[in-house]
Amino acid sequence: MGAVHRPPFHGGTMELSHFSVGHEGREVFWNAEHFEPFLFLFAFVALVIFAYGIYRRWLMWAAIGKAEPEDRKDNVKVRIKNLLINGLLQKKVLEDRFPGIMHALIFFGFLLAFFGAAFDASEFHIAEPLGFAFLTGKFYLFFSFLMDLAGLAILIGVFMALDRRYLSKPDRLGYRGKPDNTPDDAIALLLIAGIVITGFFIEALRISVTWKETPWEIWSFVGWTLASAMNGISEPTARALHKGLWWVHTFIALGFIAYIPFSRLLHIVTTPANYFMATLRPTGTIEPIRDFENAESFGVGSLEDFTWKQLFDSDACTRCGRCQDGCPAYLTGKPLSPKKLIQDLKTYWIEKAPAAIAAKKEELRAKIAQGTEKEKCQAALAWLDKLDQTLDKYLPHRVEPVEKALVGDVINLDELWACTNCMYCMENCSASIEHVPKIIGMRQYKVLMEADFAPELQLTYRNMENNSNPWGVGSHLRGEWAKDLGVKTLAEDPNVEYLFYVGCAGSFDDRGKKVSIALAKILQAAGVSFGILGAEEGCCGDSAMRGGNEYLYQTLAQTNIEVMKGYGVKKIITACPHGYNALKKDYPHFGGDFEVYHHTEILAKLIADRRIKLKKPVTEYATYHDSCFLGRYNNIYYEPRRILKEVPGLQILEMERNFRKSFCCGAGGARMWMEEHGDRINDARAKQAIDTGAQTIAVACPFCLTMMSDGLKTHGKEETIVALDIAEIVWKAMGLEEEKAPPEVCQT
Amino acid sequence: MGKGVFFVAEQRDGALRKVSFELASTARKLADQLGEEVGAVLCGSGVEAMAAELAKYGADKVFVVDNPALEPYTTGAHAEAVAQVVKQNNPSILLCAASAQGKDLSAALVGKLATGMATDCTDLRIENGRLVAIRPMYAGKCYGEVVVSTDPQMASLRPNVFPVVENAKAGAVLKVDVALGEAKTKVVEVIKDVGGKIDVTEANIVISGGRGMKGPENFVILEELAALLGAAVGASRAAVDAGWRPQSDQVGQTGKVVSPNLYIACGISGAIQHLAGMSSSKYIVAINKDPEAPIFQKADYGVVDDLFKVVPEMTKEVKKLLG
Repeated sequence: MGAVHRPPFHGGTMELSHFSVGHEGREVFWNAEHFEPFLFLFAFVALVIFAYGIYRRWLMWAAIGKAEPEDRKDNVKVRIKNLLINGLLQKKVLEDRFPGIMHALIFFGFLLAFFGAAFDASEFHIAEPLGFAFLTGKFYLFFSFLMDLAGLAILIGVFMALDRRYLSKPDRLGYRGKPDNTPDDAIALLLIAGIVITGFFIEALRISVTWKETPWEIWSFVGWTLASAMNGISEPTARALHKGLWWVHTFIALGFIAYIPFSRLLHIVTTPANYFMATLRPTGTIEPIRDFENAESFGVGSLEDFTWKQLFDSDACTRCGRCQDGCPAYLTGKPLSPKKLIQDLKTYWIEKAPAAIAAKKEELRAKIAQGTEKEKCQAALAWLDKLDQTLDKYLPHRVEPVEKALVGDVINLDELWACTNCMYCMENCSASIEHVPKIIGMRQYKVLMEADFAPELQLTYRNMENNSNPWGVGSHLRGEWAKDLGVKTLAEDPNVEYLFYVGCAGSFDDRGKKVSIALAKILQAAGVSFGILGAEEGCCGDSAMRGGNEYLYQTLAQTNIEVMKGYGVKKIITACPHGYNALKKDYPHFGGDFEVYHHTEILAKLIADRRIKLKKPVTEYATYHDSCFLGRYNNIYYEPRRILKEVPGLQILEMERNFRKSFCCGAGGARMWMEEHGDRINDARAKQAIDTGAQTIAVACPFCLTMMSDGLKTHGKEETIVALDIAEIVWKAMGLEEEKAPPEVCQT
Repeated sequence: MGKGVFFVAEQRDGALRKVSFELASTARKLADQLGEEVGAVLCGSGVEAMAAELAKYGADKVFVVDNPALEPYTTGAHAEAVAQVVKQNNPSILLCAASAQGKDLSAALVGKLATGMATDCTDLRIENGRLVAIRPMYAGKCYGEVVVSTDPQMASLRPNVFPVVENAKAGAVLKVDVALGEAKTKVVEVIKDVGGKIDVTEANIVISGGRGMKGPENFVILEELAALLGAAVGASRAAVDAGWRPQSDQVGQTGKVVSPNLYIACGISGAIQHLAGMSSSKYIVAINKDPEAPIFQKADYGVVDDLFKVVPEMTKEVKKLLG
């Protein structure tokens, strides 16, 4: 190919002839002169469509939902940090290896490509005319390489995604083996692939013409390789194809931008927004019902009872299904799936939105008519309204929503009550969605407004009301477990450092009492100053709160707080993670401000400070079951393990689902008190524990203790494997007490 | 103030129910303390023959209201009949049973007689010439002493609590004609529970089997004993989960709550979830070979032995006692 006559570029100095080895660069708009104004016109149109799409969506975000109790815009520095770490650095997404890498390739590739285009544009419009081109020389070579790498990364990511969704078909991209693919999923991926592939071909076609003059283009290695394959193409053909493909590329790319608000690509906007708005409150905090006296309705009975943020969560959801993959209810065959819950709410929201938006517009019009809104508003509203109505004629028709019951039709009762509040969904959600408060909200309506809940729960609540414990054992017997131990009540001696809040299981359940006794003996041996409330202690109310009976919970909480404050309690130790969580995170809402410690925190410190010594072996192989309310709710993962490591000769065998991915025992969310049908969550978890080969299952929660013990019995392992609380293991390891020989059974 | 301690006898399907004898014995005791007579009110159709039985347990008089309109039981007719008998005879005390029928009847009677009533009592005594009723309150957390200040003083007795004492008296039958007026309700159909099995929540005696039963086929030994005692057979969650017994038999926190006179727990460890379902039983007997089983903390009588030895032995002894 010889030098071909090229028409001079319009005024600029970026002609091909300008460049040479040592002064590398590229002629922007090569072969595409005069396209520029059109490019800007179409880009403008695309942006307008994008903006309009966001506006329509924003109407939906603003149409339904109550005010948020938490200010989701405060503490801006922290929120921006979250946004950058999760959004820009993709931290949450990358927690899962294959899909994380898959998305990161597309995301970072796109980010680079976007900046690449921005560089090009600023080079062309700003730098060049002002005389300081920067996209030249070594930087240009590096830039070229990076851009091609980015495109390649995107393509690899897209192929990974296509394989994952259409070939591998993991369960989480569906529900119970049925994939939930929509055409939109394919369109989004194909659009992206289209942009990159056309881009590479455009580059290749250009290089196929200019390569002799621009040998450095080898740094655009993909384009260069493609160009080599196009050896036989004549220059006119190449140029014609180049021009055509240039337009195709433009339309796909601009179409992509315009398509964003109307497709799953909206997550580009909504998911980062969710990172920014993610709750800064302590993990697992539930907003209490503040005004029982005057509120007319409690809990969430209809979509309108959710807050706007709770509904917005549904728009941030990308149906990735990580929540479903670890949900203990879903994995044992219950109809509940956190993903399905969020998506069902979204579907219902979209159905209800048109009527709600129309109502809001009416409101606004009424305000304008009364002269309480500015005239400008009126004009803008009228114009937008007209636009909305015109477009609605052509947009897919929305069916008039049938009045459905939120709980009953949209979310069915079995789904609602299957949740154990374990927070696997929230912890592992890559979009910072908050599932559990929605479930509790809906349960509150069922319990407080409709009195429609399981009869077993009725018994439980009644027992808590009458005797301040779910089993209905006489409340005067609460301190009996400590009778022979020399443990004083605060009534007898309030001058102690810690209140040992025993909790219902530790006070009344025979199995639980053994844990309380072990802990009390350890604390006494270590010389820790503590006392108990005895009969003055009340149920913490956690099961009532999570079972939707907010009123009962508040009654119990306030009673406890009054008693504790009366004794001037400052520090509390408890052996039950549910009590721990309630005292630490929920009681402050009612003025209960205490320093709360779980017994594993205290024991770990006592061991580290050498105030207690573990000298006797207890078991050779133990597996530790992370309690949801200790782990995910309160980040206490290492203390129990540190303790176990100090037991002579003990080796910890970890289960696969541990730490933040731990599998619930099934008792949380008031499920301890309810009948369970089908595969049992605790049996499934016990199997996981048994499969490690451990002889002991170590737990740190009375619920887990009951559930794991029962699970062992189901699998017939109760003779060979034992479930023990950490306190019991520590006490045994301290070797201060001879094991009692089993009593003689009289033979008659 | 009137004289006489009256009670409303309960009959069904041609026989007096056990609670009628409890009422008679209690009325007798109170009447003796007051130096008054015991009157029984017996309503139904073709019930005159039952009067003699009431005499056996202390009734001086039996007011028989025999009318086809009184069979089967309807609130309106029976309440009207009893009210008229009471108004004609002016007793000082009127007792009913706190059974399903008795609760229904006494509620209507209270209205018709414009008097007060102590419900679901577990004890009665006379103090200063007035009836003092003791009744459990707040789900059995405490007992209250109630004195009714109006006449006749009404009280309903919790079934299976008051003793039955034989004390034969004249039992003079007085037939009463009562103008019942237009029936406001009519019983269209009586659908009986076909099961033949006594429901655990209604039975006086419940014999439950747990994990220690080792298999569904072994429950026959409990069923045999239950048949002799007229008891219902229950199960702990372990037995139901294993598929040995149906869910309707499950006793416990997430099953049924029962409060029979006698609860016999066989091969049940007595975890707190099970106790929550039967702890209000009057007497608890536990049979378990594990001496550490928590159920022994709760049981009134415990046998630490193999239930497969003990239960058949019990059955043999019961057969001997029943003759």
